[in-house]
Amino acid sequence: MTLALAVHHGMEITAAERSPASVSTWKTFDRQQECIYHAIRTDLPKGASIYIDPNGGYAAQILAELSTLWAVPQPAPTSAGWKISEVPGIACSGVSLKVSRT
Amino acid sequence: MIRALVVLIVGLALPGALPALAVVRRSPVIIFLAPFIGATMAAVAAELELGTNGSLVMWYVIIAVATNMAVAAWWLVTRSSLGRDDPPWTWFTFTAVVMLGAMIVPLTGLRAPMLGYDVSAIWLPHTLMVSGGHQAMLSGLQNVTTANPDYPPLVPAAGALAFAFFGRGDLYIAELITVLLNACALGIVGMGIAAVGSKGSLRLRLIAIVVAGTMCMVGFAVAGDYAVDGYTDLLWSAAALGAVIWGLVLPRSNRAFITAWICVAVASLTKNEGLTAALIVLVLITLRYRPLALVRFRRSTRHPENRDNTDVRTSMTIRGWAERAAFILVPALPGLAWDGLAREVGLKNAFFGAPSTESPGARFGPAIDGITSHLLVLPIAVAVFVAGSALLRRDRELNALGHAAWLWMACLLYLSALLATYLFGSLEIHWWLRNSVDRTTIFPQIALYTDLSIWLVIGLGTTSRGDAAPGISRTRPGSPGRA
Repeated sequence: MTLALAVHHGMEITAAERSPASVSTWKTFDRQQECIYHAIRTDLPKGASIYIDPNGGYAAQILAELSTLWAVPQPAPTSAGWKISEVPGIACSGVSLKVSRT
Repeated sequence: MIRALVVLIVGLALPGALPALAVVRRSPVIIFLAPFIGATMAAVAAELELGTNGSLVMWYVIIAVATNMAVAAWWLVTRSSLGRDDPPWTWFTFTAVVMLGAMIVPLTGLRAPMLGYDVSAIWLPHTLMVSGGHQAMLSGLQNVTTANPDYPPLVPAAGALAFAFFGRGDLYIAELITVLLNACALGIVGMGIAAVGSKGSLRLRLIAIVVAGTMCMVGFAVAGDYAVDGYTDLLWSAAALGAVIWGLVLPRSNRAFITAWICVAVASLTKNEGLTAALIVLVLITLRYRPLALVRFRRSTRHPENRDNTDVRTSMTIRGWAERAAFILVPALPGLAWDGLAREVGLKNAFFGAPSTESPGARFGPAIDGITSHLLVLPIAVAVFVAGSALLRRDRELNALGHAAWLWMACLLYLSALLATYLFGSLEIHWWLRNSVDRTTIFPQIALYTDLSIWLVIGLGTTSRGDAAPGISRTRPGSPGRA
């Protein structure tokens, strides 16, 4: 009985994961990531020292991830040549990459 | 998904196939063990990439070729053949189909390309760094902005292999590899449960396989979204549990022992808490295979004339402890090597940095509440353990299965280590628990569900003991049955 209840719980989780709303949300997120990934490689020179404001939360983590192997994140803006952030926009399915000199 | 399967099969399972065949012969667990061996070799390659020079692919090819040549040479020298007592191909196929079928439903969650927070913050950056070669890996992990740089390299290495196959254009493929390795880990757990009934009647074997498939689904259910969004906690948890089942539950054999070793290596190379759990399980496996009373037993029963010979006694004692040390250190070596390497190159640990402002006493209550809130299966598991030990202990012993207390000891020791981590770690306790305890308790949760599954198989085997075939029964094989 305990095992059956656990399996039932798992089926509910899976159903929620593959619901149309969930699939749509995550596919949009996937598109945004791919677009930002390419934007970083287009808008910044390879090896650029960048600062990503840690207060940006999850978006900041995403930027750090997507800039890996292309740019070098710095702990403070003073040591960085560029500052990047993710802002609302239309370039990448609802968001855009903002790049500025520090 | 097809491309991730190609990487799993061609990149990980194929290089691990011959070593896996040497270990488990024609057992269906080979399907899941081969990718595990491949992933372990990839992790060791990443260690060498960081510690010396070169790229992951270069080291991976060297390690895979050397390992396969060593296994082939061993096979030629020992003239070993596939065991005659291995299950027939039809049974092999049936077991594999049921286990793989049980995973299909949970894996349909991949229809939504979910990406966990830690995957973006930790695992994908690490994967890209491993993929970039020695210098990129070293400088990337040493960068102060990199999160949890000391995390072990198995998952990043497996993902980096995927990038080597298909390029870095699709980062999601690395996450898919993690999910497939999660499935392999649960597959090894399931195959262990199926093996509990493998020597029994047809009915019992079928029951064991159905329970094993159910347990795979339970594993996915316990982990929830973490099973399919790239988190690695299910991977190390299920790998450690695989080691518990193959090393502490199934009858003692070289096959079970080495399978447990491989599972331990995977757990220790996946995450820091996986290394802790791996060491705990390794000590227990060693104590089961080389009990502390063994030397004294040998001396008094086999060589009573040596009872007063101090040199022989000392020699045997030293040999016994040397074996125990080797049993722990050999499989733990890759995980311990990463730990040492991370310290050597100055990779910081996020959990034991500056001392916490909260005292261990103040952290104790929230930590206990947080841990126990995820152990809802505990009361049922305790009840089944007590009832099973009282009513079915003899069935367990007659079939050479390990005492159920081994699994419980692994659970309790891990929970003690987890509690100590929360008590003496440096992060703010409420935030830390909120962000981790549902993942750090996956191992004890699935272990307790597995204990239920094993007792279920034993219990159902007892009720079907009138069948002619040997297996879970109250009669010793070869001895007259009870009236």
